[in-house]
Amino acid sequence: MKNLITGLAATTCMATIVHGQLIVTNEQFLPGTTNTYNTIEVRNMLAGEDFSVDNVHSDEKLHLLYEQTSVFTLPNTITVTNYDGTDLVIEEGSQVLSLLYHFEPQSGSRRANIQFDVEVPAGWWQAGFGTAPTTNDLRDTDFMSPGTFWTGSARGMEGVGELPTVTNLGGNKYRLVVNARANSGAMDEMRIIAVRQTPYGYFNGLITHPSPTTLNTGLARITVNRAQPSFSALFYFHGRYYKLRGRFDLNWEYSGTVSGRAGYPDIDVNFALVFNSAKNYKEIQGTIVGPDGQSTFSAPVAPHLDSALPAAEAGQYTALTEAATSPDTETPGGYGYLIGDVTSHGRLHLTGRAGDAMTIGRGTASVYMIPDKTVPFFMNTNYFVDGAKGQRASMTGTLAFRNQAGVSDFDGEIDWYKPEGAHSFRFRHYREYYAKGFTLRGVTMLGSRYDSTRAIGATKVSIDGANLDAAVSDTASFAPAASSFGGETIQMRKWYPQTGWFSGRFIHPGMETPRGKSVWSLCYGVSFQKQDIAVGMGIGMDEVGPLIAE
Amino acid sequence: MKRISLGLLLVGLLTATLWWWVGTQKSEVDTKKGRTWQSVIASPAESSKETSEIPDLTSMELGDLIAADAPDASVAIELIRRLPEAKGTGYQYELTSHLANVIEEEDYDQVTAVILAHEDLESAALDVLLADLHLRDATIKLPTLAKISEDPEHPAYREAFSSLRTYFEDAGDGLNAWREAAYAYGEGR
Repeated sequence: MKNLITGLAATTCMATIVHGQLIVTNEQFLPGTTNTYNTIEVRNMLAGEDFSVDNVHSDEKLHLLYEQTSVFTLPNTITVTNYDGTDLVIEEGSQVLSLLYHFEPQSGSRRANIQFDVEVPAGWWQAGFGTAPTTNDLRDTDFMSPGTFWTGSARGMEGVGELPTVTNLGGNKYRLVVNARANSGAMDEMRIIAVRQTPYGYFNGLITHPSPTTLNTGLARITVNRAQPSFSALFYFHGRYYKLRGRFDLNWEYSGTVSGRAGYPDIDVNFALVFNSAKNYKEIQGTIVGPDGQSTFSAPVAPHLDSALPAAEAGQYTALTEAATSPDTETPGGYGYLIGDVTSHGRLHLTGRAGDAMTIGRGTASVYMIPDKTVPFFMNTNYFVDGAKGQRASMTGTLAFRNQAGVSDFDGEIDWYKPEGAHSFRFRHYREYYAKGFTLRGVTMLGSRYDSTRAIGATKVSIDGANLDAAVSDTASFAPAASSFGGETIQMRKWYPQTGWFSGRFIHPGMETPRGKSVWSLCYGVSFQKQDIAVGMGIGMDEVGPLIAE
Repeated sequence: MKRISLGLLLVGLLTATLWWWVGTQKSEVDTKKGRTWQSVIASPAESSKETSEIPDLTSMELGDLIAADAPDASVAIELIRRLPEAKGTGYQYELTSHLANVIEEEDYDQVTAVILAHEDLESAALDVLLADLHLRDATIKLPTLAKISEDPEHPAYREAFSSLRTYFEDAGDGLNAWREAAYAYGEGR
């Protein structure tokens, strides 16, 4: 994409970078100016360029040069053209734009009061004013909080610097006045710089693959420094951590290879920090090439870690995953249930049981909300395959926080991968249920705010599936102080009103002791206040079935 | 009949006493009461075999530190060292999130110490460490949650409590039982 810079007027240099990032208008030489030599240059700083004064004429990409070699007085006409007469081109993806002002008297002591009006659109760009910075200056100093301006001293006569004055004209417009002065043979200079807004922050997002498995999906987590474009990253991929530290190039891109260590495969990563203009937030987009080919990720910033932006969604929640419509010994039929909360910093923390009754281990979901109020939900469960590297079950998907009246406070679809032979660490016979493994795509997950002081109106509880020939049911009563089931066929044995979780047991007609006595089997669940119900699972001989109280 | 009941009661009392004693010993050994994260980085020999060879990174800017060609273990220690000066700035979480990204799992007790000494952490700084903790291997996560649950005043107490219950609800009734199970799992018992 090409953009043009045009424009010139008497007494005014109108340099408009149509790229939309930096607009400089109304450069005006104020009364009292006795300029004898003036250079204005606009250049695009691309990766690998040396940002030094000595190099200003070597930039082949951009060059807006004006040289005034005679004494002039206001009104003055300044003609701005590209140095070779062609249109000025700024390439898409520019990272740093600068307008350089040189003041170099050809004789005697001179001064120039110069006024610039600068418009810097909100969001991605910010500006700095000061002496010609080096690359390190840009990295160390100019990367600052959005909306703030760095004013370095103008390199003045005999090293005496002057700070340009900056006045906000409203919105993103600023007026900059500098009093340049120098003796013959010396030079005063100043740059107006627009750089990408400091992109620091905590980024997290899902790693996805066109043919997803537990090995080629995962979670990307990257922290970008406030002061410099360096980062640390952690990719949860192939069932393990891949750690990485490094520095972005001037295009905010990075590529490298991360060692798998301990017998895990190496991965190649490529990513770039970009501004998603469609969604109006910054994110890191990239690829990971591993044994299964190329996976991709998009990791937006987590805005609520800034204490000034607490998450409105903070509070306690319970959640469920839908039960399979046709459960059998190969497809779990229970409602998965989870309890947890969203912190004021936007962290969704959920823990519970998946719909096959296994405790969701190693990977209690603990991920951050992004600016569009979605959460990259990722849980690497505690099911693992003995001796198989990376073979753990996982759940991954995007959850959207939104109020659906009578349905949910967040919702989404998740993919659930369970490798063959995966089992949890210990306890209970059902640790090896569904041992053949499965892949379930698009499983609905719903979340509900939870108020520990609120009752639900469910009066009947029933359990189906779970190797039952017919559903069993009993009465139900849910209140903060005490909740219970009737007890004849289904008993609630523990109730935690603080979180909405309960456990119990039910008489399983198909299960008897050798002496013919009835066997109680286990059930678990949570209150789901948004729908005024409770859901969970009952555990049979080799199947798990849905529990619902309504 | 009375003798049998009395005998059962006696056995029960002995078992309960033994359970309590084991729990007490466990708590004193593993929670490292009174230990701060400053003391962890001050005694590097306890934390990592690499720490005796770490370069001096203290003069490096944070950005350079993160990108430095230095062992992750030494970067982690330097990040912990810088936490106090970042307290109150609102961006202490950047240090702890870097810490979570660079820490070696064998050195995770350094992070545990930081989490337990929560008074020195801004809320967001602790939050990102907890986000990381839940993704860690169960042998690290579960004992750390158990340690958090020893302190009812810890901001993450409820989070630790509910997590332990979820993982160990089948291991017994009450926090003590879940905590014991978590410690046992961390030790491979």
